[in-house]
Amino acid sequence: MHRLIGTTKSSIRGVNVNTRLSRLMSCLLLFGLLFASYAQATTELERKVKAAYIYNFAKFIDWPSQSSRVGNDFVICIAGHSALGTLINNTLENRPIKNRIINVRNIGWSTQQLDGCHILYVNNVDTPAVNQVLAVAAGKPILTIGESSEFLQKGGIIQLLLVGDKVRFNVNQATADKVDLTISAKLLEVAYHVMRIQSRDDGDSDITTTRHALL
Amino acid sequence: MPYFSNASISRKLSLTLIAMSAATVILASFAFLAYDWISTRQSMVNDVSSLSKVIGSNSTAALSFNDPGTATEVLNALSAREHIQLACIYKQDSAENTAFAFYIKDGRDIGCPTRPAESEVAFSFSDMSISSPITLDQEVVGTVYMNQSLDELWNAATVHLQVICVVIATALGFSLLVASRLQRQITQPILSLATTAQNITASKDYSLRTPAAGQDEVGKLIEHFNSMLSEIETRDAEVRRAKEQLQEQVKQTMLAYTEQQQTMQRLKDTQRQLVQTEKMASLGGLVAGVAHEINTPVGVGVTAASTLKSRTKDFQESYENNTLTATGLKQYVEMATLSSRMILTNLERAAELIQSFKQVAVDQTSSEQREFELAGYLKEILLSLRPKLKASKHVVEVNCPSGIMVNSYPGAFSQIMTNLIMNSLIHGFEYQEEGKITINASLKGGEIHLHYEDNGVGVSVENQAKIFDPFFTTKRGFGGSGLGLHVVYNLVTHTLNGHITMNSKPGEFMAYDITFPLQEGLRHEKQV
Repeated sequence: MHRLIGTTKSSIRGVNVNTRLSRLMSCLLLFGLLFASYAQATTELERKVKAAYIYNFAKFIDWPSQSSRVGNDFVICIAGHSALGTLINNTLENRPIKNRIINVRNIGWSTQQLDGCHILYVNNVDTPAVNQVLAVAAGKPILTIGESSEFLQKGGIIQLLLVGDKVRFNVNQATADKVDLTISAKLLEVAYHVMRIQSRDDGDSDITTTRHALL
Repeated sequence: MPYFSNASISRKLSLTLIAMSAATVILASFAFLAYDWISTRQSMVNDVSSLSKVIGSNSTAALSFNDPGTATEVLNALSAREHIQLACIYKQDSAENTAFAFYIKDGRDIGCPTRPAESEVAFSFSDMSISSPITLDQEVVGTVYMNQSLDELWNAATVHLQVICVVIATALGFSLLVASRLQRQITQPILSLATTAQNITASKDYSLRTPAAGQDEVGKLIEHFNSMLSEIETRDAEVRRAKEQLQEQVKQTMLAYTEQQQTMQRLKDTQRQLVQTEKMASLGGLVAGVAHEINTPVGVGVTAASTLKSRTKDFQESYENNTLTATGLKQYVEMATLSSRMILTNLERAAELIQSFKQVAVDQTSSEQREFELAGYLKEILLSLRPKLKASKHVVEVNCPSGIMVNSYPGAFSQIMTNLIMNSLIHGFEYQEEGKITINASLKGGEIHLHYEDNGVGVSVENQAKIFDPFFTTKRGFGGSGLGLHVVYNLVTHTLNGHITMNSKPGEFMAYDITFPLQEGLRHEKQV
């Protein structure tokens, strides 16, 4: 069951437009999900762009104050092993961001090490360990970034995806709201889709999608 | 500036006023215009640069996540701004220099420049371009470039200029009005002053006055002008009075002069008469001298003749009575011979005297020019003065080479010598019994140099200068006329055409030096 809630400037134009848009977006989402599996064969350039995106996300998101207080470093946690994880490790470690130094932490699948993480990058491998880490992370002020098509439904906040030859991202604002992450409207503006997926105990979700930018 | 310096004061005032008000208005207007221009421009820069910051801030995410579409959407918001005609966003780390996103106002034929400077404000005549960096988390992620047309600025300036022109025209008109009113206040008194001056020049009436006008400079000028006129009036009256007095004085002076002239004439006549009288007196003296001189030989002759007559009568009686003896005859013949010789001698003497006197007298009265021998003539003069000299023991010594023939006025010459000698006798030898007079004459270069000197009392220094003046005498009341030496001076200088100087040492000598030409031309006839 999908309910549409207009939240951006395009919604001002009227309900008819929104309806038409939402249909189109649903189509695209479907297409994107199909494309995600194809995107397994990621190139080096694409990984670099994604790493840069992960770095840039931090600039548009405010963490709740108590999470900022833990240590002086900005901690990027990487769950599991992946090529992108390695790239992040290599390129973002010790880079300055928001007056802090980035500290990349490989946590494997250990949920204990999630404390103090600002960003958690989760590989798109669909395993119970991933689900468990995500479930724990969803209760903490951690920006979870993933690439699997169901990442947002599983409690992730930002999903990276390829649209054409461009790397884009979807945002689940509902999850972000729940863990007190403030996402800048600017970021939402450039997001491919902004969704509000309310996780339910029965596993079903209400998906509210807002399309911002059309290519 | 010749036009201005020759223009009338009213024109000058008007021009000055208008020029000043024009200058003020123009200056103020252009200061305002410039200030307005600058402040408008500055506010434009501020406006556009803050706008560019907003645009930049809004496009950070689009730049970060490589979304030109969103950036374009952000830029499209600028369509609300009428004068922004071009806006471009450049990605910082992009390899190419072309714009990441851009906005071009409808209908404008312009494009984004290749990557402009990160931060710059540039003006051209028609537009202004501003580029400013886009920063995100202290990192420059791009550049926004905006171009705004300056039409607004120019339009405002045009309107301002028009307003200023109207203001200037109004101000000039107003100042012209004020100037025409004001200059009348100033020029009116000056003109009335000029008119008064003109009237005074025309009518010579210095009682005219200019009506007073206020207490300003022109008022003071008029006041001073009026007081000057009063002064001139007073002076004029004084001058007129002085002129009248002067005329009166001149008239009186002329009268006095005429009187003086008449007196002078009378004086001259008297003088001439006196000179004539003196001449006659000297002639009279001469006649007396001659008479005395002739008296002796004639008397001796008469005695001898009467003795001869009585003896001849006795001799005749004796002869008739025949009582004549040989002794008696012899005595008679001796006596007759002696008597006749005596008579002859004395008569000859008288004849000689008369002859010489005649010549001197004729010369003295006739004043004719003739030739005479100087030494001989001097002798004749002395001879005529012998009666005067004979009575005293005074000696006259004449040193004159004989044979000097002088063609001049012997009468004048004899009178000169007579007067000098008489002067020496009367004055020089007054208290002296044996005086000596020396006369030296010589011929030098066609001129006779005659030095006359006596060893008498001379003349005092203070009287030396006056000695030739007429009527100067130390013997007034004792028969001196005071004309003797004056006559001498006149005769030497005028008749003989010569010079006379005197030299004297009181108590020792008195000397005269006379120079006159040997041949006197016929120019000086009848001059005394």
